[in-house]
Amino acid sequence: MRFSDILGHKREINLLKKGIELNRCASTYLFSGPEGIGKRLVALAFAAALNCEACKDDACTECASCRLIASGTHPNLLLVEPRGGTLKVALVRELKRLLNYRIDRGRRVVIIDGAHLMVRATSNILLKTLEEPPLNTTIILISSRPDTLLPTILSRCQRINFSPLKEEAIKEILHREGYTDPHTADIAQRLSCGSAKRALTIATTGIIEKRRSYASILSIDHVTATGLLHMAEKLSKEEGLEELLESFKILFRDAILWRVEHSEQRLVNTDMLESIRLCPYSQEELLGAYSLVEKTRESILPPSTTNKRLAMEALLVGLKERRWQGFVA
Amino acid sequence: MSYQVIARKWRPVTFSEVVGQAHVVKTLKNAIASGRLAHAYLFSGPRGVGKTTMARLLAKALNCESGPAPEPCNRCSICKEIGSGYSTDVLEIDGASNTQVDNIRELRESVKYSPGRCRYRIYIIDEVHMLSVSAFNALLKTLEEPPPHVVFIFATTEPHRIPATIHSRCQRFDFRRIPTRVVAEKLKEIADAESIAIEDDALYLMARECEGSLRDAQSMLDQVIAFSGESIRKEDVRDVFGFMDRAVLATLLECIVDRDEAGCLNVVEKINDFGYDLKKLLGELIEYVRDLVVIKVCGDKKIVELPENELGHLKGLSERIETRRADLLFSVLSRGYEELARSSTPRFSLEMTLLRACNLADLKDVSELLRAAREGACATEEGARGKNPHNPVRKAASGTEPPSSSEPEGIEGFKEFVGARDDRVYNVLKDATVELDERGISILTDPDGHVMLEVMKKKRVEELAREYFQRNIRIEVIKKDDLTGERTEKATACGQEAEDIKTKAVRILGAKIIEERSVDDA
Repeated sequence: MRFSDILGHKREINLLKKGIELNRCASTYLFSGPEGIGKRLVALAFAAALNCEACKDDACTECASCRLIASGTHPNLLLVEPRGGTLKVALVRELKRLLNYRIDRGRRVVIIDGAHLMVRATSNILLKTLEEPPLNTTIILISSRPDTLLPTILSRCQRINFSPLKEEAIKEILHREGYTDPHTADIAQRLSCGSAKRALTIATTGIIEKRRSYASILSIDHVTATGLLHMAEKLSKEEGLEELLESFKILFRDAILWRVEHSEQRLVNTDMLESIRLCPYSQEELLGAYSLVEKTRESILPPSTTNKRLAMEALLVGLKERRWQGFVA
Repeated sequence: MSYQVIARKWRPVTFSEVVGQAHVVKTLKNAIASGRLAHAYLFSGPRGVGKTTMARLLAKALNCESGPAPEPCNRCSICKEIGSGYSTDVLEIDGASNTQVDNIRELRESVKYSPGRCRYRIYIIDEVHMLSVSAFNALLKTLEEPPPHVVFIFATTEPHRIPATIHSRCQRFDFRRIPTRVVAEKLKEIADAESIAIEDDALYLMARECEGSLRDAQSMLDQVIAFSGESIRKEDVRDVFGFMDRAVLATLLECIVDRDEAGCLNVVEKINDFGYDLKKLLGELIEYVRDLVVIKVCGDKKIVELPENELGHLKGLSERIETRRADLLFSVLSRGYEELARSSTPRFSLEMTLLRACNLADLKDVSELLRAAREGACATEEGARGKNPHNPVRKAASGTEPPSSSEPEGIEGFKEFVGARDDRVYNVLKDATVELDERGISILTDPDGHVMLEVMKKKRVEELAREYFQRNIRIEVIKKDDLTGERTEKATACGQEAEDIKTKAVRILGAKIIEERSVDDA
């Protein structure tokens, strides 16, 4: 993996390269930013660049070191990942043990992916190591929820904030993965909010078509009670329900924006313009609907074990009956 | 030699280099000079203000060959050993990794041996808040009466997690956040020594952002140097950390206050394209609203720490927004912040939060609705009244007749009654429009009278009314400019409708009426 292979993140990569160039690489970094935008790829490329035998500020992909990094077996590369939803103490103790050994050449890079999944004890154990890491070692924490990290951890890291990916980058990634239909790519990119991972999920799970088949959610007043119950049942059996609800939210958001601006420019669901235009809700009601969908989405997220069908019924009936209580405060 | 970050390279090696903790330095120095050493110290305070540094300095000062000296020499072999962390008599223990009671037992075993080369055996336990309860307890006896050659130094960011029994055996020092100015000066000193040219504005920008933690500021400086080399401008700092121009916040808040929805959306789009952290933006906006509310309520600029031009702007905005709306704005945005933190589509989440904030203006205040309901209700229920001789019936049967002109006797009688009892109240009442219905008396008066009655004399009026009408009567004082001419129509024509609004409000909001109040400044 080379810096030059990575789409987007020019600013962030530039920061890292400058660090290598001036020999001022920090010993601890925190890569923060939304999920699925390539933070880990950049970290791996950084590790490769630091260890490459041929080039200075990027990897060559050909030398022994680069090949080892690419295959994930380089002794200088330590990758720590959460198991079972958390980063356990034992894992970090093991890491600290490994850090005691001296390295032969190059620079050791420790990548801790999902740093926000560290339990409290894990974070605390890391503190001393983060403050004064062993010689020739760089520790990179990666997190999409940096706000949940301990302030003592944050203060020990140089933080690099990753921006969401730009439109072209996501389209390019979708193209590389074989989603060549420009229309699908366009909608997936708009729905993704700058996250390549989401764009790919959207493209693979067919959310785009499914979402279109539920267009009646925007004019739910015209659906009969039985229709509602059928719809709820069908919804609850959908694969990727969370993502689907997310797309409902965006539908409502579009309907609101349409009311505010009467222009297509900022809309996401450009393929469903007709339904959005005909949506009978007032703006205030739409804001309530948005919150209701969000609340429902949260309620079915793991680890919650809510009965999905009941949740969907409640959602649809709530939308029809405009049952969004006090969405303000 | 590999590069060492500024925070480590510039870790103070003498007490005089420590900034912002004069109270700790002075106490420790005097203690060493006068030989009044405690056997256990507890250093607490936020991250990056010098707790670990101070612990190491104290260890050096106590053991220095030319000491115990108020300032370590840093030349003798012992100072050097401690500085490089190889000393066998100064043990720095990571409290977070050694939390078990067994670790403490081991430590207790080693306490009884006298030091090898040094004067004292010093145990520095960093992150001590992570010790288990039994580990703390195992330490108690040793901590109370350690051998004379032992000194314990604990350092932690979370002193509240340490048992009281430990607290009471230690001398506690609370480290303070370092003031912005001091941080900036220290950064300047470092930059000069590293021969880096840096703008003062850039320094202050970092110093402000670090929240009083010198290490945070040093990390930032490191990062900026790594980005832009030897000459640093304000813009570089902005670029590296994605600090947003404060003007964007001002624009955003202005859009919200003016209910400019499209304006809000524009700002969000711009910020999103720029790659700024939306969560941080919302956080800053919430703080900004807080400042707005403070200015609105207190009018005292001194409580708000902002540059002069931003203060002026906020002051201007505060005149365009009512306190209640500003207050609600704060809770809407705070709720949006939580939502944003969990959301996988932060941009849309932020947009909705801002639109909700814009829409606040259209929300009716519950008490206002209730008042409308009360005024309206009077028109429909006139038949029910008139049983009490003192409770005159209002002849408001025809919808066109203004309610204030109906049935003057009862009210006039009341006014005279008041005139005989209380001059000050009467002075207001005689000019005010006073109405009586089955719910109570409503007094429509100018702002001065409003203040007089509502704030100062309400109880008195209630007493007088009770005396005159021989029953409990609710008094409601309405400021004249609250209401326009349409009030009269509304009151008589839409009685039933207004009652509906009230029931609806209760149902939709899931509310319960706890207290009915008049609106004073809406």
